[in-house]
Amino acid sequence: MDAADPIAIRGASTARAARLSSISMVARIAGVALLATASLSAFAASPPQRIVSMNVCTDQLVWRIARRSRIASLSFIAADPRTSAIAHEIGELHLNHGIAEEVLSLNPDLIVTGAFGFRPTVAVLRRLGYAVVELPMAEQLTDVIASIAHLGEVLQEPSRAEALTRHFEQELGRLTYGGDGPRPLFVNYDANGWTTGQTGLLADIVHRAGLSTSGDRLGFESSNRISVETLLLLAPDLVDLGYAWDDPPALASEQHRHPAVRAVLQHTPKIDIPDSAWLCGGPHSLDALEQLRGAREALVESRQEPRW
Amino acid sequence: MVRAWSYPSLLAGLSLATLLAFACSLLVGPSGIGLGELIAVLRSGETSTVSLILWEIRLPRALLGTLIGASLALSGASLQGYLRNPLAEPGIIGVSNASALGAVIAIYTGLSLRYPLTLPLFAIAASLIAVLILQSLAHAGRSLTLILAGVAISSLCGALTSLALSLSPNPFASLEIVFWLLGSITDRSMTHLWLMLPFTVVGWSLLALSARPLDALSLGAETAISLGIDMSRLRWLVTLGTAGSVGAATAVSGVIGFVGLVVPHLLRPLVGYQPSRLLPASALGGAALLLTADVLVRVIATQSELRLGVVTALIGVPFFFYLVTRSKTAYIS
Repeated sequence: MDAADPIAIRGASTARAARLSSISMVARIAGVALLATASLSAFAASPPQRIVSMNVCTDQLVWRIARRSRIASLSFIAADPRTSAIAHEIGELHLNHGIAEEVLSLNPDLIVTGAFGFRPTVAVLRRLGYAVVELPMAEQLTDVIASIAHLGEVLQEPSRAEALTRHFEQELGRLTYGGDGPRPLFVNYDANGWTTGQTGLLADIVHRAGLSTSGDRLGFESSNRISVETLLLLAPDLVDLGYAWDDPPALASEQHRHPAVRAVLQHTPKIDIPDSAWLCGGPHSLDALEQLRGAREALVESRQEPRW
Repeated sequence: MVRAWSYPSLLAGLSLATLLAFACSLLVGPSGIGLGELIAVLRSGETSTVSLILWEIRLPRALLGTLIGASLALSGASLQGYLRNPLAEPGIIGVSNASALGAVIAIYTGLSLRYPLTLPLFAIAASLIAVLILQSLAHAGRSLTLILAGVAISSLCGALTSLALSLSPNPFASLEIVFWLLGSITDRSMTHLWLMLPFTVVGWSLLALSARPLDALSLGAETAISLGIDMSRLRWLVTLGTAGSVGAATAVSGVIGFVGLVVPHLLRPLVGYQPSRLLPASALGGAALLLTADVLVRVIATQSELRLGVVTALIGVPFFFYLVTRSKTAYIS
């Protein structure tokens, strides 16, 4: 596995914001070592007491690493069990919608968000001198380790982060398929016909489970939409239709009701991995990996003469 | 620009074009299944992946393309004849957008999941309202008033569609604005066909009955009345026929523009400007055009499939420009 992306901190708590952000740009290129210095100088010595997270992926990492008393707010999506693995744990915590005004009124001393979306909001918060930490989207499971380590540092919870990392690495090692046996075709046919490519977090999880993706078969790199016709021709060994997103109704899952899809699904083993398990990279991604790995073993056992 | 085409040979030519486009529609798809395999499936009659693709994916798509294309062009031809306005077309005067709004309300409130018939019915009801509003304006004012009112209805319904979809708590709904405003018949099934077919047949029949009276009307309203044409009957034939066929089509495919505008304009000189001849010719021409556009959608490689409305506009608009610049005289049948 390659080294994880260097994690950039492009923010500062003082008028040095502009200078520091250019430092961190250099640091991004120079590597992790330089970056650590930049990040230490950017944040005050005392641990942050009013942490606000604005992104459902960072919500879940912050929740696992920071003490609850220090979390001022998580994003409202963190409370949606369809997308968040911690929805049932967070209780009565304040939820934000990632709007600058709302975040300001919480008087945060550290804002955590994903390096994805909220660009104007992040720019405003930075200009006003708030400390904003952006975590990159996990492109593979090992990126999660880097994000945990980085958060442990800025949240000043090194021991909790270490414990989490240790457990994550152990489980990752245990669940990753290392053999060179068959790799049955797993197709997730999500709303609007989206399916996994050759790279990205989902593909990494599928590969580690000893399965192959639609992208591996059809030769596309990132996630892509496939038609019902293509799904039929793929003849998957294992299918996940994803969350139907039909309540309230939308056309997104119309394909799932197509007679041809139903005909195929009658004869194909199915699996249901909750979106919350693999939408974001985090400790909960291991649940998706475990589920898929189990399904793979069952598939391989059940086929005396595998088709693949 | 009138060429000496005999009417039967024109219809034969258009039928041939439609058949060819229909065959292409069955043959073209991402899987690259060839003619040989398809014929083998037809012979063996067994259920396989190829037969599923042919019967459940490509056939409904080709049939829908035929019906929807014919409905749009037929309504365009009859609206142009009845309103005596060359720009009257379901897309431009807002009937299509109104239908889409009706369909959107049926789907996103969850009604159509419980009662599938509400999907075409809501679309038809909405398009009926749009046609009625337009006609009341058309009688009051000049042809420009009609088009302006149509543009207003069209924009309003488009905006309301976007609003309804944005208000839906389903995160995917807002992405579907594109489908409703630009149209597509990808991955539709026989269910959709059965849902729209009865309304389409009724709509076509009503429009067919309007053919003769439209001939008389082309001589002027007063002449038509003196020839014994019942104007209010004609009005209802065109109104209900358009609402039924366009509403049913749009409920399944979203808004597809320009077919109803371009096809009648292309064919009008070839049928000697006679509405009763223009209607059948337009139906065939519309089917051929939409089927061709739907094949192009599959052939032109893009990240995700192009929308039908994009292709019909790309084909239709240059033709239309050509026609407009060539004929400086007002062509009204």
